[in-house]
Formats: sequence, structure tokens, C-alpha cells
Amino acid sequence: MENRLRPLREARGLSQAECAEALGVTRQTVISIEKGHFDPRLSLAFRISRLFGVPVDELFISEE
Amino acid sequence: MLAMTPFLRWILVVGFGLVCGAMTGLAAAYLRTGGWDLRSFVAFGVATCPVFASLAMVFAHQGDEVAHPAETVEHEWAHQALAQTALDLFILVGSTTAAVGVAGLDQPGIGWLLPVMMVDVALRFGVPKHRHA
Repeated sequence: MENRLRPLREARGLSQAECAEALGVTRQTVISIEKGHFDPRLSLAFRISRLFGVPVDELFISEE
Repeated sequence: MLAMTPFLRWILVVGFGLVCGAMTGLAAAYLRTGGWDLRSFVAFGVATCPVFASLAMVFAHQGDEVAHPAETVEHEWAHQALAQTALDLFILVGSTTAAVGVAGLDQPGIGWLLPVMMVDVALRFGVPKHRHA
């Protein structure tokens, strides 16, 4: 699943470590989500959505 | 907790494991037979070294906890590694039992399975970690 985490994070001026801390996960988790290697759980997806003020369906784009 | 680079952390963890493993091996080598016994030293040292290193690893990572550990990619890797290791174990034991049965040999003990599983789960966890880094 593709996502817009990286552009949103960079637009906010957050490092991966700062983003990870704000979301309560590890930096590696943020890296893996940005690379599309890891699809987060719904609860984490909603925290990302709240952090950046973007609806979940605009944050994650299904490849289907 | 002092700020440590990952490299220094690994050195301390491995060093602690080696020193404590060697001390346990020494104690075993002298106490089990009443004199020096190299086999006891090696066996106890090798067996306890990873345990002490693991304990040191736990302490070295204190303060690294995150608010939602179950939602991290590391948690996902650990789950996958355990599931894959269980499957590996099933296949390994099944094929070994079949091969031994067909060849008419004595069934081997299960002691060798533990180190094989430990290495397997470490590899299963380490490979995606390095691939995704």
C-alpha cells in the first residue's frame, strides 16, 4: 500500500525520529512505512492521520 | 542511562556476555570435578554466554521503549520470525524422523534443536531488518 507519510512529514519539518516519537513507535517503523514495506495497524494509521491532520483515506492509497 | 552509540552498546553487551560466560565456565570447570576441566569450561561458557549477553542487551535498551511496541515493524518481524521458525522446526523434525526411520538408525536426541532454533529465529528476524534498513 502506498502512502503520503514522507511528504507530509517533510512538509511539517519533522525528522523520522521525531515523527516516530510523536507516533509512539520506533524510527525503523516510520522508515518501513515510508518505503511501503510495512502497512501499519488501523490504530497507528489513525494516529498518523491525527498528527498530520489528513484523513486516513488520503494518507494511504490502495494499489488495487 | 548514558548515551551510547549502537557500536559501543554491542561491544558492552558482547563483552559482558563473554566475561560472565567465562566466569561461569571457570566456576564449573573447578567445582564440578574439583580440578581444571576444559570440557566443562567450554560447555558452560558457551551455554551461558548468550544468556548473559541477552540480559545485558535488555538493560542496555532500557529507556528505548516506545509507547506502542505492538505496532512497530520490529514486532511484526518478531511474529513472522517465530512463525517461520515453528514451520522450519516442524519440517526439520519431520524430515529427520523420516530419514532416520528409513535408514533404520537410532532416533537422535532433541538437544540439538534448541541451538538450531535460536540461530534460525535470529536469522529470520535479522534478514528483514537488514533488507528494510
